Formats: sequence, C-alpha cells, structure tokens
Amino acid sequence: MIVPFKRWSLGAIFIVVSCFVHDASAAEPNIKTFLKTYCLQCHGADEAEGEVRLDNLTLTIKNAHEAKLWYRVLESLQFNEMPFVGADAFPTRRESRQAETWIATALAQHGLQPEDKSDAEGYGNLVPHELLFSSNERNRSVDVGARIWRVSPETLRSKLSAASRFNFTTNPFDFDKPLGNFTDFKGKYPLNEIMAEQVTELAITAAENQTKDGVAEKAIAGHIGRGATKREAIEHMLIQQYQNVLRRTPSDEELSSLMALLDRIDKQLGEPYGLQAAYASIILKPETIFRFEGASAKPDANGLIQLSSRELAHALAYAITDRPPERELLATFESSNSSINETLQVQAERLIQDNRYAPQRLLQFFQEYFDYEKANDIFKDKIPKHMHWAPGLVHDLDVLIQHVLEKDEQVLHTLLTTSDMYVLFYSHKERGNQLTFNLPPDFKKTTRPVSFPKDQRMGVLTHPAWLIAHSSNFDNDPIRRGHWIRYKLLGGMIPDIPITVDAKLPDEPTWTLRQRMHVTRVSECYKCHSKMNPLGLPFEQFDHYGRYRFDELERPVETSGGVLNSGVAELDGEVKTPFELIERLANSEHVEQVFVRHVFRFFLGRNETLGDAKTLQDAYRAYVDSNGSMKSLVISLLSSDSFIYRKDVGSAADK
Amino acid sequence: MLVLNRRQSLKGLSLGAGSLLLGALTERVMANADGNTLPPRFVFVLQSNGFDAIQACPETIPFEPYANRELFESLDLTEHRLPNGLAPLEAHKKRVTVLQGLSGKSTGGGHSTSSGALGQYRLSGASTTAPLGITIDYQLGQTVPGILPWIGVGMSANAGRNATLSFSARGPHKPLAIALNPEKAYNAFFSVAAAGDLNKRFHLKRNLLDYMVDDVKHTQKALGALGGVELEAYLDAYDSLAKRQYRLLDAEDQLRKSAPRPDDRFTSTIATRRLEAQFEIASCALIGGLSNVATITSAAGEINAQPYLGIGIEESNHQYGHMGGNRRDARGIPLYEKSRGFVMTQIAKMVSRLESMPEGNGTMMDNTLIVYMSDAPDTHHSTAMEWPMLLVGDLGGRLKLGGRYINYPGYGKPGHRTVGSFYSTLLHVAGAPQETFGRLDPDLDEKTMQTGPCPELLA
Repeated sequence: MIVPFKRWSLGAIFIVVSCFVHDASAAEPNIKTFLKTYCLQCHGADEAEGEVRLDNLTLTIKNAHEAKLWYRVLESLQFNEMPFVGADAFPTRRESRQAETWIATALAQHGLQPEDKSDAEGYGNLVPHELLFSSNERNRSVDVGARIWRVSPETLRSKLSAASRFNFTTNPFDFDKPLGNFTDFKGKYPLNEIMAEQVTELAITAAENQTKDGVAEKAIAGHIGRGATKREAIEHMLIQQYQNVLRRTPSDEELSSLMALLDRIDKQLGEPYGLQAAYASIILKPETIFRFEGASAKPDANGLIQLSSRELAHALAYAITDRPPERELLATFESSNSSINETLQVQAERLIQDNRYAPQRLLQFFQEYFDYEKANDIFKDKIPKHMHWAPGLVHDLDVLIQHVLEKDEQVLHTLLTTSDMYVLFYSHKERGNQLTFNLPPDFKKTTRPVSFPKDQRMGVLTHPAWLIAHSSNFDNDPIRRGHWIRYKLLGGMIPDIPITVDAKLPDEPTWTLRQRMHVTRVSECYKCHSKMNPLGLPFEQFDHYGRYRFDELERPVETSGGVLNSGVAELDGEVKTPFELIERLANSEHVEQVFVRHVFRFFLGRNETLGDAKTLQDAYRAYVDSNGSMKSLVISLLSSDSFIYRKDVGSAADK
Repeated sequence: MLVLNRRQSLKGLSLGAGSLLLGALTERVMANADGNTLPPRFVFVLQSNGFDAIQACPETIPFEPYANRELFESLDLTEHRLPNGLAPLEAHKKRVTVLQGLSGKSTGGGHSTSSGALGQYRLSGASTTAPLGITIDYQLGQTVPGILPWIGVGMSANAGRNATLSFSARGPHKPLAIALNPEKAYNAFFSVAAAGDLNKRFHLKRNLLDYMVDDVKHTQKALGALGGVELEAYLDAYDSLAKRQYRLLDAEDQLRKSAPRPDDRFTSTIATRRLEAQFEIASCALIGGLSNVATITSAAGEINAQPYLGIGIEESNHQYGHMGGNRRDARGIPLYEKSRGFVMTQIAKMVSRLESMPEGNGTMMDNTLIVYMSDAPDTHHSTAMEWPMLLVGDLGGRLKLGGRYINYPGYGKPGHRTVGSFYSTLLHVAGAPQETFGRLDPDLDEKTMQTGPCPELLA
C-alpha cells in the first residue's frame, strides 16, 4: 500500500538528494550492521524507545509501514538527531552518509523520492560541512545551472525611477514578513498576479508622468527642431527609455514592435496613449523584473557557461549596491582587457569602497543574518519603571555593526564578543534605551560606546535588540534563540515542526520559563528540542525586555545550558553562563566557516552545493588571511567561480 | 414589477452583447428567472483576533466549554436575543445560524492561521503568502463562476497597503490578492464601466497586457529551459490579468448598472470607512454577477494594529486580545463586541441589500450564504480546538440553516466535526462534492469526523 504512505510523506522530509548523488566515496554499506551497531540498542525488542522498533525492518521495504520507518531513519540521520545523546556508539559522518545514500536509493527504487529541498532557503545546512571544507572536494566544478530570479524591491524602485521620478507608497516586490532568513533568494518569490498587476499600474503611472503636461510634445518638438521627423523623434525617445531603464539599445525588431503598439493604441484612444503604452511596455519587459545569469552564452568544453560581461556587471551591482549597474560599470566590463576574475576583484573592491549604497548592503547582511529587526514587531506590555521602545534598540545595534564594519577586523568574532555597545546613540533617551541596558534613568547620552562588564553584555547575542527579536510577547524564547545558534553558528538543521504538535507551554505563573519548558523533554519532542533548548536557556540571564537580571521569580536566575551533538568535539559540553557559551562559539573555526556559508548564501542568493567547495574554502582563507575582513570575504566570493560560471541548463536538467 | 425589470434588462442585454461568455451568463440567469435552480452565492468574512465561543452564545443559552459538550444539539435561535457582538443581525435572525464546536487543528491555530482558515492546513510561518493548497472560497468560485470566479476585498489598518496575499489561494504556492484599497478595487473591477479618462486607462491597460503576454512569450521562447518557473509564473500572471480585462469588457453594460458610486469612503484614511466601501463593492459585485463568491477581510492577520480607531477603539488588536479573547478576562469583551458589531452592521447592510434584489421567486439573499469567522479560530491565541462561525442564509433551503444555534460535540468526542467537513458540505451543495477538504487532523477519525457532507446541516 504505497498511496497512503505517499500522502504521509508529503512535506515530512527534506533531503539534499544531490549530496548522495555526488558522494562518490560512499561505498555500499552493510545497513544491517549499521542498524545493529547504532540503532537497536534503543529501538530493538527490549526498549522500543518512542515506540519505534527497527529490529524487524526488512531491506526490501515490503509495505508502507516499513517505508515510513525507513524514512524516519533517513530523516534522523540527515538532521543529525540520532543516535541520541547518551547512546553507546555514534557513526562517523562517512558511515552515516553511506547509510543515508543506501536508504534514499532503496526508497527511490520503490518510487518514493524524498522531496529535494536543496534549493530551498533555510535548508542550506543540509550540505555536509566537512565535505564543503574538505581538500578532496576542491576540484569539483560549479554545478548550479543558469538561472533567472526576481529583482529586489530596491532594484525595481530604482528601475522605475529611471523612467520617471515618483514616489510610490507600497512596493509590489516588498519582501514578506516575518523575515526569517535571507529575504532575497533565488526561487523565493515567484511573481504572482497581484505583483504583475501592481507593477503594471506603476508602469502606467510612470508613463503617464512622462507624457503629461506637454512633456512629451515638447520633447518631440525638440527633435523635430533638430531635423527629425515626428516618427524619428518618437523612436529616439523610445531608445532613450530603453537606455534609462534597461541600459541597452533596442534591436530593430523590438523597436518596430513598439511602434506598432504605439500606432494601434493612438488609433484607438488618441495621443499620447500610444506613447504611454510603449513607455510602459519597456518598463514591464522581463529584464526589468528578473535578473538573468547565463542566458546568452554557450557552454564551454566542461559544460560551464560564463556569464556575459553585461550579466556580470548586473550581478555585481545587485550584490553590492542592491541596484542596477551604473553605465560606467557596464562600460568597464565591456571594454576590460584583464581577466574576468581580476576585473571582478577590482570592481568589487571599488564598489565596496566608493559606492554610497555598499555600507547599507553590508549592514543588511547582518540585519538579516542576526535577524534582529523583527524586534520591532514584538509587542510588549507596558510595565512600571521601564520603557520599551524596540526601534531605538534596533538602531543602536545597527550603529554597533556599522562601527565594527568600518574597522573591518575580526568582524564575526568582534560582533559575537564585544562588550562595547552604543546606547542612546541619537536621541532615544526619552524612549528608555538606557533602562534596557540596566543604566540609570539619567544616563547621559553619548556618541561613544559604553563598555559593559564582560559578564553582563557580550556581543550581539546579548544585545537587547537580538534578545527581543528572539522573544515572545510575554517571555524569552529559548527555543528560537537555540534554533538561531544551531542554524546560523553551528551549521545544524532542525526539521519542521510536525503538524500534530500543539506547540504551547503551560501557563503556570509560579514556574520559571525553564520549568515550563519541561514539556519539551518528553522523548518525541526532545530529539529536536535538545538541539535548541540547551543553547537558548543560558540567555535566561536576561529578562524578555532584554535587561540583565540576577533573579527570576525571586530566585537566583538559572543560566546553565550547553552544546549537544554539534558534530564538532571541541564545541560540545555544558556551559554555566551565556558568556561561556558565546566565547566557545566565537573562538571556533567551525563557526567561522559556517558564517562564511551564510555570507555566500546572501550574496549569491542561493544555497551552496558541493560544487562551491573551492569558492567557500577560498573565501574562508581570504577572511582569515585578512584578519577577519568582511570586505575581503565578500570580494573573494564575488570574484569566485561560483559567481562567474553556471552549469549548462541542459545538463543540469539531465541531472 | 421589479422582477420583470430585472428579467427584461437581462434579456435586453443578451440581445445586445455578442460575446459567448456574456451569452452563457445571461442564459444562466434567464434560466434562473424562469424558475430553474439558482446558483448559490457565498460570502466569507474573516475578522482578525479570534471569535471566542462564549461571545457567540446568547445570554439565555447556558454556555458549555467545548470539552464538556458531549452531544450534538440544535436550539431555536429565534427564541433568544443574539449576544451583543452579533446584535446588528437581530432583525435578520431567521436567517442566522450560530455554529459551534467544529475544530480546525490541522491549521495549528495561533494569532492567525492565514490562508489556513479557508484552506485548512498549517502554514510554515516562514511565509504566510505561500499557501499549501486551494482555499474553499476559490474552489466554490470555480464551481459557480460569475464573470470572475472570485473576488477578494478587505481592510487593513494601514491605509498604504494595497493588497494581501495571505488568505485565499487557487492552489499550492498560488496566492490570490485581496484588494485592501477600495479605490484600486473599484478601478480593477468597475473602471470598464466608468467614463472618460478612467475608461481610456482601462483600454490602455487591456492593450498593454495583451502586448506583454506576447512579449513574455517571445522572451520565454528565446530563453528556453532557463525561463523556468519564474517566467512561467510571469506569463501566467499576465495571461490571467489580460483575460480578466476581456471578461470585464464583455460585461461592460451589466457592470455599469451595478457599479458602486465611489465616494470619500473609497479613499478615506479611516480604516473602518474603507471597510464600509469594500462591503459595498462586494455587494455590487454579487448583484452585477461579477462574481458569485466574495471574500471580505477585516484587518485579517493584523495583530499589532489599530484598525478600529474610526469607531472609537484605540487599543490595538493585540491589546484587547489580551484583555478578552485569550484569558476570557472581561475587560476586553466590550471591545470585541464593538469591533465585531461593526462588521456585523456591514453584514446586515449587505443582507438587506441582497434582500432588495429580486431573483427567481424570492430575493438574491435567498440564494446566498454568508460565513463569518476569524482567521484566529477561537481566541486571540487560538488553539483551533473549536472554530465558532456565524452563518447567514440557507442557499435556497439547500442547507438546514437559519434561526438555529448548533453545538457539535467537543473535540474528538463521538459526533464531532471539523471545519474541513463543513467546507465539504458547502462543496456538496454547490454541486461539486468532495469527501474531505484540506489537510486531515491525524488525531481524529477520518470517516466520521472529517468526511463531508455533514448530515446535520443538509436539508
């Protein structure tokens, strides 16, 4: 009975299938031995932990029940949930991957393909870290196909303004809330009817602006005065619109198609409706809406497509400025005699140094990485003797990050460990930022950072903005904090919450949050929660307004926690305070590499694959060699093979 | 007599208009006028912040929490005064049903279930605009289409917000736009019937959309496989917009007759005034045959917002949610009653308006069902263990509704039913039966609790 099983499987498991396909080192494992060694101690005839028994499982997958069990084994291995803490034996990464490959293949032979989420945002960590940073994987070539994806809201605004300057109150491409991970990501925002309609309306409004109050007539008259016919004048204006919005000249075919549209509409509705339609149609061309990568070139002998210089100039400008390229940048790429890597390096460095939008773009990465802006959306009740105003705290953290970026040394380490924070940087005194930082009400505002004791504030994870962003309306949220650390620093994954879970803590006013969270310790919950709770609980050091505290419910606050099952021996172990946890994480090479993976995702708009191993290793090296410079890291990524090349779509589809 | 006027005007229309689509429409309505089965109409009203079961219960009916409700019961609502929040419907009580006890656990509950409310599934939370499947409103609309299968209008506390994609969907990852700006909604649906520049703009847009469909196809052909789902979605969007313009054009005369007259409510900075305008647009759309299904949202999904400043509620949804719906603390209840009462007043106006439009042997309201519910099923922090609903109408007697107070047995008890099975019931009466709707709740029996239609509601 496969059918009901298939229904169960929908959305239940997400696997990076490509990893298995690529992992040529995976030999045929003895799956029976694997189960016996690592699983049956808890899931055999004697114990059947969580009512799961694997001792009778056959290798032929004879029914839906068995298929379901095999799926659970696969998921548990993939998400590093099993064997659970305290088991006698743990498989090596390689053994685990071999077992995963065997199960995935066996299920596939029964027509049961796990859903491949390798492209989906939020699942990047499913690619095994140790392979990405293994010297054996450096020789792979880029394996991500040519692609197009929707431009960002800022790019759309910029292109529309290039046609006609006007304010629009809502941007049809505005990113969804809640923010979650990175907002701008290939595949994340398919264009839908409402966006198309809104863009169409905007394009028509822009075109109306361009033709109203006799502006168009005047321009036409000007061209005629210089000897052009009326038709030539209009053609000239359409070419200009192409240049302004699309940064190119139309082909003859494109121009004649536009003129035909213009004539048809003028005949139906009269002037200047034809010109309006032609102007608007240029704005609405797919090149305005999408970014193209690998559209025009032919693959080389290795099946790789090099992005055209026009595409690279666009991609670089989007990456660093969040806007289309200036004409000079396009011209530089068109005429450069240097190698493409060199041109990219030089131009990336120039843009990061000189472009006025670049600092905002780097800050945006950290805003989305630390995900603290959502503090603004967390509603808190008013309480006596305190004032809560999240925007002020968010602003203070922005300022802190900007200062760290200006110095550009040991950026991640500094952000995780600095005890120098900006408070009341501008004029939020009346809003009470100082109270959140446990400073006196009459604290004098200053543009200099305040140095806190290292056992009170240490880096972004103890900054009120981050704490509040990862809190709920009435409580801290150790689960979300732990989830953030697991995903963003440890490079781990946690499966989606099962639909049957009623995720609520008991409403018991005399219990501390830690006590209330005991409901998550039942075995079916704790296999996931053990990956989050111990990482988040040390931050009980702060109350949910972000204030340092000594007591909770009139008892000394309990701040112990730990790192379990990270897969990195030196990281695992208990901690007594959040500060101990942060120091351990901040000093880890593994954490720094995971950070590089996230920077990659932000600037390339996709998850990494094993084909990006060289890019990531080089980027990490660039970061380390430059004493932790964010700029060097970004320049390395933006001049890498992963940035320049795409795999031929045809061969990607074959895969 | 009005009936004749409506019939005559429809006959006149069919002679004048040559299009197949309008022909079909006119034929259908003519058949109706001649006494054949009339197509059902559905209106879904979603108001944020929860609809607590206790607030749906008249004072003179003893309230039992769902956990204590063992048996199915149906009481005569006409013998009781409606509770405060529902009072504006007192005059229409014979048409009103309070439906208690359906559960929707597969949505997960929370502050808002987003499109899970009408789709009965749980969204990931990462994106409320990535629906997992079709929602009941659109599915019904496809079954009984008007000129358009469905329209969605609503109110946001934020006057600058033009649309929400979070509540209706035509399929997985295919959200539908609910227009939050009445002026834009009017332009989208009725500008074909307007005069002067607005009408020229309609035709400019129609031509432009046609051109864009060709242009995108051209690019798609040039790019081949690279265009992928992105370009496909872009083309799909333009194709659907262009088709819509033609449907509207075909129905120009008909829309001219039913179009609302925009006034200052359509551009008001006061959210509740805009909601009044949206109810008017929805009523006109139903009357003009623009659509047989409308979804109307009132600040749906908006928690940290103050949508009801215009009627004197200064507290945000969140604030009074914490004073009422959540912990059943009495301080919030008057605010709930006031905000719900405002929406009920709009529903009552719509009912009166549809009652004034003759159709068949009765009025348009006779063939209409209005479903009022919250996107946060029961309370501000909802559990979806129960999902109270207020229904107005009985679809020409196809449903055994009107003047009833219905209690289904509590969650998991014998005889319990889900919202999904209620939606199956609606599909059944619309003539497109489907056993189950949305995701199933694995903790409930599929056959007896989640498979429709619900016999207790069928005539």
